[in-house]
Amino acid sequence: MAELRTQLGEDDDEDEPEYVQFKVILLGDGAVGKTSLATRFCEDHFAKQYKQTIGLDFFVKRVVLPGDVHVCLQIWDIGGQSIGGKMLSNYIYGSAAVVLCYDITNYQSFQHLEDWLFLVKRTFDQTPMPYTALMGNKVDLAHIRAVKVEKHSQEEGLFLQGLHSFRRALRCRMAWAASLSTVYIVICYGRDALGSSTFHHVAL
Amino acid sequence: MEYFRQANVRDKMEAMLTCWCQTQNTKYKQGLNEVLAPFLNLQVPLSGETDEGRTPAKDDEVFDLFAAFVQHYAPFFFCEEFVPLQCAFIFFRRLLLYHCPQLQNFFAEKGVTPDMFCMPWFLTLFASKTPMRLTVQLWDRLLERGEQHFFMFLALAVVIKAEQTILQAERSALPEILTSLGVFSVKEMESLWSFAEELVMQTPATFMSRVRRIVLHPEEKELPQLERLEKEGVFFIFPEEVVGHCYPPRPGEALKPWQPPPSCTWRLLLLDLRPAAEFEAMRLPAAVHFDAAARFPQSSWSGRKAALFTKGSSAPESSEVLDALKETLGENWLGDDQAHICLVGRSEESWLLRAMYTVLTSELSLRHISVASGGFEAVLKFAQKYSYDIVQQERWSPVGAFDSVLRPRAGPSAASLAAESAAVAAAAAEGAAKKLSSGLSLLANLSAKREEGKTEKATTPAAAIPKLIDRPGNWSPEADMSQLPKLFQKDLQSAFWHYNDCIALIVRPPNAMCPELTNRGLQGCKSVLAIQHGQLLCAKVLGEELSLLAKFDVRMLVRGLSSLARPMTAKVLYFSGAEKVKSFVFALQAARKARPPAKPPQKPGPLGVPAFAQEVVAQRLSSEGPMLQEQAAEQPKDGALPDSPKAHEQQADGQAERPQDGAVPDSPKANEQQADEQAEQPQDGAVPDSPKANEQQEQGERPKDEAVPDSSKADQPKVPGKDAEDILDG
Repeated sequence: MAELRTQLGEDDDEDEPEYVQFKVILLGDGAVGKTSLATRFCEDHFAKQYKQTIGLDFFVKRVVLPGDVHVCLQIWDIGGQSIGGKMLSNYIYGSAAVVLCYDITNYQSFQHLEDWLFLVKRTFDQTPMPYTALMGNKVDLAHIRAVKVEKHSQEEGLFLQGLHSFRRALRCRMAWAASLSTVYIVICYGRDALGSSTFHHVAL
Repeated sequence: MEYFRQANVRDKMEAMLTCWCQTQNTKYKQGLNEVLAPFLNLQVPLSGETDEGRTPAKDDEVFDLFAAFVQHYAPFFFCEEFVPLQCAFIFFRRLLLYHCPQLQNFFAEKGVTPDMFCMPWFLTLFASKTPMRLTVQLWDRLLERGEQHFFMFLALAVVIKAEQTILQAERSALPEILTSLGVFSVKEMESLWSFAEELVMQTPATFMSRVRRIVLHPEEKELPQLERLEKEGVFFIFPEEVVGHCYPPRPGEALKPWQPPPSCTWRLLLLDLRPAAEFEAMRLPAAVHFDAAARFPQSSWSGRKAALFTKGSSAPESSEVLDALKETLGENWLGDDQAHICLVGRSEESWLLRAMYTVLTSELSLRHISVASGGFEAVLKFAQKYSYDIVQQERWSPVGAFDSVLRPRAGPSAASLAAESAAVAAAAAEGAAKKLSSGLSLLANLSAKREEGKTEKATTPAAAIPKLIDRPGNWSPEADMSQLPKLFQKDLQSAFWHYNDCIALIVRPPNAMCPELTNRGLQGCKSVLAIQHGQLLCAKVLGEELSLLAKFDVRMLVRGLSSLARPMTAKVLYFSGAEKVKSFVFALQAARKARPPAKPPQKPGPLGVPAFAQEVVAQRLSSEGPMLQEQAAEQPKDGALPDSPKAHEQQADGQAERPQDGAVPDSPKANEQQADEQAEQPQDGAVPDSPKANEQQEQGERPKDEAVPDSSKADQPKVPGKDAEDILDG
């Protein structure tokens, strides 16, 4: 009887590089365009119809940053009308970045960001805050703008950042790519690398 | 849907929702629109040749239907903070832990909670994620069934059906996969529906009544309810249901609401955890005693209280608990689908109950575990209230006690049962005696065969046999073997397949140990292979202990088998015979085809062979042992075999065609497997009085469990000497 060997290949991830994983959450009022932001970014399309997110939706995006750093972003699209604060805290917990979204044609959605930010702060309490970005959505409706650009930058404190419409794919991708490297830098080199301000963003 | 894009329809929708919110005096909530849509859809003008008699619904009809439906079936829109919904998630988690603990444990490990994917289902009764045509059919069925809690079971069915996909999901993709689950075709809906119905049947009535009270018709809407529910942490059964299951309905009496309906297919096995003295002083007749505190002294249990939440540290202890349970309930209770275990204990010792519950569910992933709420005291009080008999001042003897408990309820009277089992035991004893004599001749046969094998083996060049070192050949000598996760031999008792004669040449080491794969030639350590819960475990034996070298997903492996072209990626195993390779490959394939690990293929093997007969065989074997071992020692590959009857048996699993192995009825599981094979191939029964025949006889008395997939029988190796390549290709 011959001696025999069996060779077994393990799962197929073998050749794949290791991804650094980050959790990014999208927060903001209902209908400001969080899901559009995520689908544009992850699936590169824009749904013309509004479909409310109930609870949560998840998207995954893999990107390669300069220096051959593979990053896997798990995007938590949190329904604007999500239930009780306790559950929201569970979702916010452990996130590497928070994107606060508002609709530039809806002033209330801008005002409410304070409440959303409060939830984030409460969740992180004593621990360091995640990277936080401010996103003004729907700039293609600038003619009925309700939130002035100055307001945005004032709130943001630093630069002028992403006022987006996710109908304009290119800008969206750039915005994300830029925010991503920031996320990555913050994670790798400590939060102080970018200063201690709550809002950070990247100029386009 | 085009229809809902029309401006006037949208306006109407808005008006209706506003109106509803005003009449209910509540704020608008997400998802209400999804629930309204199917009703509004009733107004869509019918196209084609549908019945003429139907006229589109009027606005107020639509609104009334919608309002009534939400009122009765969609309970979560009324409370501001969604407290009942959050309670529902807690119940759902318990339910999942009850029916599919490995899935819930997997979620817990990955930080996933059911609310992350169940919310749209619960809130809109599947409307938001299901095509509307299907939603309508689904609701139709729901209305017909009339049970408000049914949506939970439907959600449970969806999740459990996707178990394999979920367990194999990569961590980052997991939430996305979970949110993409749902009902997408009529066929799917039908199978999910009947599965959900099955799950309802298998769930204690207490669950439904609590869901009704707390989730569907909450009287107190404040948060304490939620916290209390979160804190209780176990799957409770009310004392009345416990009593209902423990005493058959009295003749001539109407069925009480707390008694299980005659259609109930499962039995409640009452596991009494109180100290022996208390148990003997007073107990329910159907209870089985398990003195948790005495078996595992207080200190270790109370130590557990803290340790419960640190993963991994308590693993050996949970296996001890499992062994003790097996000892109490018999080896086969694990595979008995129809025995649900209810823990009952002193009400002031709830920590013990909780610890035990956690061990059984979270650590051992056992299904159908519950806790009697209120402890023994409450159960006793209820039983006394209905003047049921309580056993008092009677010594407890575990012999045969669980037998009557484990028997199907629809069985004959106790007296005839006893007579029957006496007859069975007698027959078994007789069979065992015959078996012994045949076993001896088989042993003689075996040694003859070994002799042959030896001469055959002698011709193979010794150089081809790997040198055995204490680790896989590619691992660095510095690697710290003590860092490996530990297993115990007994952990593998529930393995679907078990093999202890393979040599691990190349095993991908845990990253921390040594980063590179280097082949140092033909060196390797003898390892145990076992297929358990859909995973192939590869472990190195160190006495009673096993160090886990590697763990592979069976599905992945089978896929990998066909691509031999990828060298040295993960693992090279070395077998010393074509038969072994073959049986290994077959076992892998069978495991892949097998039902999900939710139900590890185990059988309710009943009496097996009387213990004394086993002992005699074992003794006989061990006296023969040295001889066998001597011979084996000359064959390098077998020389490393441990000298226990068990080892022979395990080997036998892979070599079913050698009849002699049947003589060691050590593990009933293996035995039955053989019996099954035999049922298919009568020519194997060349030895008429073999234990297999005996086993079969006994099995005939109870319905055969089909847990072992047909493929595993059909695929068993029958043609020796075939090249491994052939098998791999096949």
